[in-house]
Amino acid sequence: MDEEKRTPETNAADTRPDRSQLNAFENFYEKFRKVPLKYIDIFIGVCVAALVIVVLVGILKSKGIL
Amino acid sequence: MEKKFDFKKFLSNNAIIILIILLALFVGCTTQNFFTEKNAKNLLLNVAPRFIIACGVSGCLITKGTDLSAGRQVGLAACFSAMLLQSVDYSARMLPWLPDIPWPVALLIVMAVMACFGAINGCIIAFLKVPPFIATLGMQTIVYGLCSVITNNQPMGGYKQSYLTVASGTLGPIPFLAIFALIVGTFFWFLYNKTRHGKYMYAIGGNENAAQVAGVNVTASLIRIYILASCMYALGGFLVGAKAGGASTNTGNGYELEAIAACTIGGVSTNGGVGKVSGVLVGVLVFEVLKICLQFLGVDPAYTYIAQGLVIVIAVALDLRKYLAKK
Repeated sequence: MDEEKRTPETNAADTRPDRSQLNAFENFYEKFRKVPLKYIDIFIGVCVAALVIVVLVGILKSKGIL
Repeated sequence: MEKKFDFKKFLSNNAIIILIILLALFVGCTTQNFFTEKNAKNLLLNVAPRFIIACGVSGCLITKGTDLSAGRQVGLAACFSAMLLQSVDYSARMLPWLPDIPWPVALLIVMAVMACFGAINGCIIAFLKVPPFIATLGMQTIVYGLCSVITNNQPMGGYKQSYLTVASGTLGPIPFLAIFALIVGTFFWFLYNKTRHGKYMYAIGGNENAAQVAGVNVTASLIRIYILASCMYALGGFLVGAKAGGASTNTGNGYELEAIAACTIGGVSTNGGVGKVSGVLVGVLVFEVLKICLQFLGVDPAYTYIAQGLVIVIAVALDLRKYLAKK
């Protein structure tokens, strides 16, 4: 009988791991479960751009240009 | 059927390594003396102790743990080594009553003492189920306090020549430090790939409960991992002290984050269950090459820290991406 009461939503919820069984990192990673990969890629791209900018600024600063 | 080369996956798995190689090529082309034997040797000397420390941390990470006390344990080990191996005729000797002891004996004593701290970490994590992050954070502060107490916050030097030779000596063209790293790397490769302990470690990292049900002694394995990690910090600290020619309470400060970052860059997932010794070596190399590149470019030291932090954030973001892509 229990099976009949299940909705697609409850089935979807069951596929999520029990949070109490996860470590700190998994709990942290699980928060991003619904975030599309596209946004993670954009974030990585922004970080890479920031890295390049920091290196350039660091060089210019040490040379007294900035 | 032939497997198709997935360029996006390759890029995602090796993004930081590619980024650093490009940076190294840029630095090599725009500055002098970058691609030289002297610089390569310098890189090797910097990588060796950090690789040993990172190998210790990798075991903790593979079992979904971490060790934030690594850096301070390195510092304490360096200070212990300094106390045991100061020259007998050095006027400011910390332990003037201590007889002259050979460096291998001193190394064994330091490793044995540091193993006790690892055992305490392991017991707290395995028996009391305290999250590794908290347990090792507490140990980090305790070890720092102990280090300050036993050294009176005084820097130590005046090492005997045989101890200094451990860092400066070479076997043919190969520095002793690199030989230490090679031995440790081989040992860890064997441990991770060819022993029951290695299999247990990956099983615990994959799913601790499943490993327990399958008959793995999780408690004993975790304690062993943290003891081994502390032994590696002891060896790392011993070598760092020999290389620097001195030690103080600040020795090893921040090494734990460098080691964790190097492991993450090298593919040791902070989620556990994944990681190779070769990956750890690549991670440490990448991090050290980044530092040397920034030095050669003349980047302001304050900006160097920002760049290193960004590399760590990118490494974690890439690990997160892999985790989400798998789900």
